[in-house]
Amino acid sequence: MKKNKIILSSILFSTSLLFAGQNGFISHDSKVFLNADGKKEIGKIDTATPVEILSSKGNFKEIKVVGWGGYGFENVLFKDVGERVFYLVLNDNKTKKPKELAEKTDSFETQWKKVSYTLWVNEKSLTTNIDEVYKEGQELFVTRCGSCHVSPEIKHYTTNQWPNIIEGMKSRAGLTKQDVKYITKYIQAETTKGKSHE
Amino acid sequence: MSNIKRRDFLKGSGVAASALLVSNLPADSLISGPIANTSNKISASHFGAFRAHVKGGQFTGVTAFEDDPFPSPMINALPARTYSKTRVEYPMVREGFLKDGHKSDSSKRGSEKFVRVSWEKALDLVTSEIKRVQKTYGYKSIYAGSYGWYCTGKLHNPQTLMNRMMKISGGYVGRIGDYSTAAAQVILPHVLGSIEVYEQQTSWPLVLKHAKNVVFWGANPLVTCQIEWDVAGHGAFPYLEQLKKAHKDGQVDVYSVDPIKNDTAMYFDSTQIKPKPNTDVAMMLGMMYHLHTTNQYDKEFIKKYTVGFKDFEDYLLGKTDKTPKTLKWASNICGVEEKVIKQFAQKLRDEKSMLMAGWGVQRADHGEQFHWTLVTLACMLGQVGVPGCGFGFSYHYSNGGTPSADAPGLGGISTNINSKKDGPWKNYKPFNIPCARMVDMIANPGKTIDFNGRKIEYPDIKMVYWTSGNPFHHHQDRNTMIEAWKKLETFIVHEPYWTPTARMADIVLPATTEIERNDIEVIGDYDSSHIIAMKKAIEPVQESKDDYEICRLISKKLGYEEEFTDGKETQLDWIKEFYANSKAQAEEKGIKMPSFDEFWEKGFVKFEVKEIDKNFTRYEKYVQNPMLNPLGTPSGKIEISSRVIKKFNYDDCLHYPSWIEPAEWLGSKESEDYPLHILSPHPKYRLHSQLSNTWLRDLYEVKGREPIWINPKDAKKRGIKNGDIVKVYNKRGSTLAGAIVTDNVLPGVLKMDEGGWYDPSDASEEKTMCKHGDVNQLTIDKGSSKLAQGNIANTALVEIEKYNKEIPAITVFEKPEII
Repeated sequence: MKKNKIILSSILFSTSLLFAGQNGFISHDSKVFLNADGKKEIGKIDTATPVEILSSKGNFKEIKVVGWGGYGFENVLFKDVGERVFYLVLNDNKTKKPKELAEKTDSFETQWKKVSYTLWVNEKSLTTNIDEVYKEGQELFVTRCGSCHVSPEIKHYTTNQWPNIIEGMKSRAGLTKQDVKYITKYIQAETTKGKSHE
Repeated sequence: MSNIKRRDFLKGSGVAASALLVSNLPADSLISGPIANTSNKISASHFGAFRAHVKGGQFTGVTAFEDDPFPSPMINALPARTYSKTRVEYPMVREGFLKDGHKSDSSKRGSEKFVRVSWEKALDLVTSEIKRVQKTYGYKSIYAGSYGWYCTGKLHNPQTLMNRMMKISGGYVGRIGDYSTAAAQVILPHVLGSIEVYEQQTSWPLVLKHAKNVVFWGANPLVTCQIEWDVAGHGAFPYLEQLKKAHKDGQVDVYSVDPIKNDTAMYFDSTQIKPKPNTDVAMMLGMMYHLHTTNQYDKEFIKKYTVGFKDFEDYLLGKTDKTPKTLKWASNICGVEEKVIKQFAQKLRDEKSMLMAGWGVQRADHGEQFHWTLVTLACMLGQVGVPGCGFGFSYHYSNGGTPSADAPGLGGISTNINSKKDGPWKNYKPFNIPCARMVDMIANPGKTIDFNGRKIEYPDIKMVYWTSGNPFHHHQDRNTMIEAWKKLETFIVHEPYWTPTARMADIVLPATTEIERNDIEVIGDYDSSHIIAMKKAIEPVQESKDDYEICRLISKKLGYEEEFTDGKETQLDWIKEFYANSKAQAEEKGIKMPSFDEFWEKGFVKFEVKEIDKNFTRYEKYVQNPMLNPLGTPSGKIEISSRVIKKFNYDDCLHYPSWIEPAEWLGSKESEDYPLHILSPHPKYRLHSQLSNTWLRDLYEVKGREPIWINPKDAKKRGIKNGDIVKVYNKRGSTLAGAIVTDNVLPGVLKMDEGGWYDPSDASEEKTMCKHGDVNQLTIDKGSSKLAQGNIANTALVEIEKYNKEIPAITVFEKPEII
C-alpha cells in the first residue's frame, strides 16, 4: 500500500509541469467535460490514453485525443482498428462532433473512422510520465496475478483477450475498477509494443 | 521463525500443549498431552471449513463450519490423514543418491531404500544440488512447474513458495495451463475472447427462474462441487436441491449427456443421453444439421453476434468434405438414436435452455473441439446472454453460479522479489511449457513442438523439483513417465505423505499439513462469501516443517533470506499484510471489515450478496451492446470460425469446429484388440489422489482395489462378476481393480476414477503391473492438438479380464523401506 501512495503522489506531482502544446497521458480513468467549467460531463477517458494539451483554464486543461471508432459509433474510440485498447467513451455521438481524419474497412467488413476530439479534463487527470502509470499496473500484475495460479506469460493472450480475462478474474484478485485499468493498460502496452500506431 | 512470538500473539486463543504426538510413529512420540486440554480452532481445506477438535495436543475430530450448507464427508478424514501411517516423518534421501549424489543409478528410483538424515544435512544437499545444476546447466535445466492441488491458504501455497525460492536461485522452467482445462482455456479465448472456464456463471437464481431445460453435459457438480480451489463453500448445493424439486414438480427438465450415469444424474433422475466417449462433437453436429436444414436456427443471433459462420456452415452441410453431418451420420458415430438426437435439438430450441458443460469431455484427443462446438450450438439456439439460458462451463467447478458476495479480494504470496541486489534472479526470463507435455520434454530434449501459434523447443531437464503435488498419479501413461524420469539427475520433493511421487524422489523433505500452521483464505472461489482464519491447531507432526520454512532456509543458504521473506520476521506478518490489503480494498468499496485482531479472534468475516449479483447474466452486456462491450476476439464477436487459427494451418485443429477422430475410440481400428473405452472422472471421496490414504477408502474400494464400473453385457462376455478382482490392460500398462457390474455405464465403456495411488508390483521391473488401481497405467501421453497441447486422459482403449492369479497385497499405504 505504501508503494502505491508514493507512485500516485508522483503522478500528481508531475501534472504541475504540464503546459499547452505538450503531449501528456491520462493518469487514471477520468471524466471528460464539454467546457472548461467542468459542469457538463460528457463521457469518460481511459487510463494511459495519450493526449495533446491545447490550453489551460483554472484547474482544467483542454485536450485533443485521436483514435479509431466504428462507423456510427464514433463516440467510442480505440487506439487502432482491430487492437482494442480503449481510449474514450462519450455518452452519445450527438453532443460533441469529432473531426474526421481517415477511414478504413477492416477484414471483418466493419467500417472504421479515425477521428479527433477536443475536450476538457481536470488537470489532475493528466501526467507526462506514462512509465509510472504502467509501473502501477506492473506491480499489481506481478503481485496479484500470481498468487492463486502461476503468473501467466503476457504473450500467452492478445491485446484484445486480456481485458476480458482480467475482468473475469478481478474479484478473485481483489482488483478495484482502477486496478483493473492499471493492469490492463500495462499489459496492452506490452502486447502492442512494436506494432504500428496509426 | 519464532514460535514464541506467534504464541504471544495467539495468547488467549487456547494454544494446546506442545507435547510430542503422532501415532504409527516411534513409541516415544506417542505421549500426548492431557485429554482435558482442548481447543476448537477454526481452519479450512479444499473440502470445506471446520472447527478442529484438539485434545491433549492431538487433532481428533472436526465440526463443519456453521455457514456451510452442505459439508462434505471428506473433512471427517482430515484427522486420520494427519496421523496416517504414510506420513513422512523425517528428511529422507534415497540410499544410492546419498552415496553417489547426482551420479547415482537413477533407475533405482522407486525401488531403493531411503535413509533418514538430519534437516541440516538434507538442506545442505538440496541447496548444493540447486547451485550445482544452476551453475552447470542454467535455469532451463530445472523443471519446477510443480503442479497440484495440495492445500489451501494464501501464504502456504507450496508451488508459489518453491517457485519464489527457485527464482531467487536463478530461475526455472515453469508450466502454462493445467491438467483440468488445458484444451478449453486455449480454444475459448479464440472463440469468445476469454478463458471462460474459470469465470463466474449466470447466477443459479436466474437459471432456476427462467430455464425450462437444464443440461449437464459431461458434468457432475454433485461430486466436483464438493471441492474448490480456495475453501469450498458449497453454495451451489441449495440451488441443486431447488432444481431437483422443480424437476420433480415437472417445471423443468434435467438432462445428463454422458456415457456414465453419474451421481448428479442419479440425484436428479435426469433424462440420460449416452454418446460413446469422445463423440459428443459428432452428436452436436447432427443436432445443428437438423436445426439448419429445417430452417430453425437463430439467423439473427448468428448475424449480429458471431463471425465466420459461413465456413462452418459449408462443413456442416458437407460442401467442404462431401459429408453432410446428417442425423444418420451423427448417430453412426455417437451411437445415440437419430430420433433422440433430433428431439433433443428440437426441445432445446423450442424452450428456454441452459447447457452446463463439464471439462472431462475436453480432456480427450482434439478436446478443443468440444467447447467450440457447444458454443456454436448455443449460438444457433440463440439464447446466449438471455437470463438463465445459454451455456456455462463452470457450474460444476467451485460452485460456479452461486451469486458473488460484495467482497474484497485476498492477495497471497507471489514470486515477485523486492530487492535492489543484483541477484541470480535478474537474468531469469520466464520460460514455460504446456504443463501436460512435461514428460515429453524430459524424454526429448531439443524437440520442437507447436503450441497455439508458436514453437517451443524443449530444454534439457536435469532436475525436477516438486512441492506437495503427485505427478505419479495425475500424469498420463505411467510407464513412459517412469522411463523418462531415469534421465533426471535429481528429483526433489516436499511432501507430508509417502505418495507414489515421494517414493520416486531422491530427497524427500517432510512438509506440514494445513492444521499445523497459520494461514488465511477465502471461502468460495466465485462467491467469496467469507474470509477465514486458518489457525494452527497442533504442532508439526514429527520433524515436518512448513514449506515456507523449508524454502526460507534454502534461500538463506543461497544467501538471500531477506529476498525470500521480504524482510518479514514471522509468517503472521504476511497474513496480516494480506488482510490489511483486503481491508483497504473493502474500505474503498464501502464494506466494513474488523481489525485483524478481531478477525483472528472470531475466525472469519462474512460478506453480503447484493441484489445485482443475484441477477448476473453472462454475455448480457455483450448482447445489449456488442460495440461498447466487445469480446476479446479479433472481431470482437463470437468466432465460429477463426482466422487466427486458420493462419496456424494445423491439421489437428481446423479453423472451424469439426469432428476429428481421436487417436483411440470405439470406432477405431485399435478397438479390435482393445474393445473397451476407459474414462477416468473425478472421485467422490477424494480430491484427485488426496485422502486415498485414509479410511474413506473403505467407503468405495472393492477388496482394497480401486473400483471399475463395467456394463453387465461386457462383464458377462468375460465371466466377470460383481466384486471380482480384475486386470485392466493395454499395450501401455496394466492395473488391478475391483469390478462393479452396473448398467450405469454404457456397454463398451469402463469407468475408473482418477487418483488411485500407484502401487507397483515390482518397482524394479519395467512396465510392472499396478496392484491398486492407477488408471494412468492405461492412458495416452499425447497433446490434444498443436493448438492447446492439453492432456487426453479420457481417450484410451483397454481390455479387461478376471484376475485369477494370487492376489498381491497392497503396500502403497505402508511406509517404504527405511534404513
